[in-house]
Amino acid sequence: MIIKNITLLGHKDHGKSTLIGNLLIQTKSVTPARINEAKKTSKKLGRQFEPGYILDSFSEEREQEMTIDTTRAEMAYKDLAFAFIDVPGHEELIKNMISGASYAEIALLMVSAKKEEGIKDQTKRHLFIAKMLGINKLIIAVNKMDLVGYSEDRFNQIRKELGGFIAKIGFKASNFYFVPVSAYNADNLIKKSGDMSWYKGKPLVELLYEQAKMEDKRKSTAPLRIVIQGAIESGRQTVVGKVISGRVKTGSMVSILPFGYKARIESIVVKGKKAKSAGLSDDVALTFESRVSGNLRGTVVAEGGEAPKLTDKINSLIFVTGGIKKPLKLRINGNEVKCKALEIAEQVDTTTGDANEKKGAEVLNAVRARIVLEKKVPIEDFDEVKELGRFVLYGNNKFAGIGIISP
Amino acid sequence: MISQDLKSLEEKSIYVIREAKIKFPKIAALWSMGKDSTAMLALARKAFLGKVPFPVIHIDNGIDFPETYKFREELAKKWKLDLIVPKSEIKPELSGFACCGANKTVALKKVMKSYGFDALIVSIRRDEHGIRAKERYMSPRDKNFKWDYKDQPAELWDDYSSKLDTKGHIRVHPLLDWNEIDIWNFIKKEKVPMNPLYFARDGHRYRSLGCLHCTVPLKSKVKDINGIIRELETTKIEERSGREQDKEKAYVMQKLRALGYM
Amino acid sequence: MAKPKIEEIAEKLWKDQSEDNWKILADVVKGGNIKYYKVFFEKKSKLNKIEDLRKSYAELYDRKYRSIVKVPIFKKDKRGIEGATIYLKGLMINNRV
Repeated sequence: MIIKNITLLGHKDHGKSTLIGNLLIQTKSVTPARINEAKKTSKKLGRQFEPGYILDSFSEEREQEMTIDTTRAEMAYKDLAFAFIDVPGHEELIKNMISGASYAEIALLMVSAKKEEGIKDQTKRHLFIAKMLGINKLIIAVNKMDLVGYSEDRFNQIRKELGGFIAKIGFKASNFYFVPVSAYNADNLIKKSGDMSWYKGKPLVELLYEQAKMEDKRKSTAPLRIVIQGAIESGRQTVVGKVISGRVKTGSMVSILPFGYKARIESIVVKGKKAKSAGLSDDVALTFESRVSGNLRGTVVAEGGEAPKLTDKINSLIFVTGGIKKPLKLRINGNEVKCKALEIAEQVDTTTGDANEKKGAEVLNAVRARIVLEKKVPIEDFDEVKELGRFVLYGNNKFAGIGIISP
Repeated sequence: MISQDLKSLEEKSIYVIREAKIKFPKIAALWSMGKDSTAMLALARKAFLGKVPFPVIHIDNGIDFPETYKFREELAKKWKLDLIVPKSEIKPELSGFACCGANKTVALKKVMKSYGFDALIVSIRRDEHGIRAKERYMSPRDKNFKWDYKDQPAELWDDYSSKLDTKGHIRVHPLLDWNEIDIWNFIKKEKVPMNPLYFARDGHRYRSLGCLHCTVPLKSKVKDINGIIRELETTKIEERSGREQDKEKAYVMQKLRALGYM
Repeated sequence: MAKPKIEEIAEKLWKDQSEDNWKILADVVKGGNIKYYKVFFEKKSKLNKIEDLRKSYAELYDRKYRSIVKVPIFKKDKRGIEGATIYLKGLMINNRV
């Protein structure tokens, strides 16, 4: 079964665990025995059972005395499985939040419809980070609709306020959906709710399924790009790496960047077996008809399309997580490159998406910066080829931020 | 237990093993001759054109199952493994012979030092134990082998720890994402040789293998891999739900919630 | 030279757990009528004392699960003692007992 990773975003009391608990119950991803057990425990502790407690028993197994980095719950639906990854909301744990969320394909954001809860700064900041991590698909569950009388107006109000922000930070309209739910009552989770007939869209789990099924077609038809991890010697020179777009075939003439010279593919091995061609996400081991020279780590094998840019000057948007202190280093596609200069053009408020006048790099904010590198590297715009358009920034050998390359 | 898509699991593991070997030429792997570390070696062979390109270490406390020793000998020969077998040092003040104990760590420290290894591949899975949910694919340990789980380097996309932040070493975990059932699906697909103790004889089999002292069998009639996979698909959940839950654990979870998780 | 009987070499092993004696046992086990083994540890021991390993033993059985003999599970080396179950290689664990 293909597992799709979904990162859960949102403020802590907005109902994340109730939602996941009820999804697991409704899709029968937990056994009746476990549900009973959670009910018994609640009784023992003198509290009323609610679906979120199902997760407590997962988490109790996972975690004992220590604070959690991320938790994970798996659910099967139709021919897919979803793994929900909850990341810590704490701002001092932003490093862990980024690590946990970076593997997700879809983000599920919870916002409480209750007046005193609603949209928080943290909610928006998480969305901003999700976008920078390359998560393009987003479902926003407006929760606790039962507590606001299933009000369409309240739902629309939140949609309007948050929708503007989401579009501003770059999500495409076809990739984000709002759904009004009551996680506690399972309204609009699996089945449409009778209390919100004004909502014409699909229930939450269908939206997730639809987004998960939507393949990135562009990637398999796009020109060939292989990121090269390095060379291994096995009688003759073999280079290993991963196909990030397009297809590679034996006999093809490819360019090796940044060197710029060409070589003909002689053989391809995928997962230990000889193959005539290899496609998206395949691990490959390649030999060329003639030996290629130079340190191959961090190089890109390319064929067709407009070749990746070779440059030592990049424009970037950086989410700041630590001190931008010298020596500054950038890790991009296996390359570790020193920055000769980093000049901040403007600071971007991650809760509004707007630039402000400040020029400093404050943690939890973003900056637009121009970076000059010590050597040329192959890059592409983040929106074109994610893998070649993003980097991790280190300041004085400490994690200082994540960046994306902009034109 | 959900079976995951093997293609993506293999791709990720192969990528991580290759990264590790390329970044840290002085790398070794721990091999317990159990299903996980043997599956990992099979993946390393896929990643490196049929060869395991690093030494494999078995810390031997001298009381492993005879079947395990036999399996070690046979597979080491078949796969041409560069096998290092340090003896677990016996110091009564530590944890004696118990195979997960401090004695093994002493032996491991010694062997890492004498060979100068700066990275170690360990075949742990996230679904094995709570604390392992926090592990990274590449995770630094200090020179005393301590793990500062509260302050780990960020790890995102395909970017992993590259430098040793301490004078210690890097632990590499290529199987982090695998579930127990995925390991068996892989073993079946790839026909990976397996220790016979996993399969039932006289009504018992072993689900995970340590040394003779710390390993107990479970009642089972399952004699082949298909049977193990079926067993995991069905009985596993029930086995877990039978666990005792106590107030203390529920309290801990409440505390965690208060801190902002879930 | 004819192989010694398993009982004889077991008796020797209880007196002297030298590597030489263990090698003889391994040789006798190979191709003999012993098929199964089971290890019994000193009761409730966490094996945190060397003495506990001295008191633990392996029982060896023939193909009909008949108990034949008991042998130690340690051997002497220069500095002390160490586990010796590797010399039972080729046998299978007896899950019936």
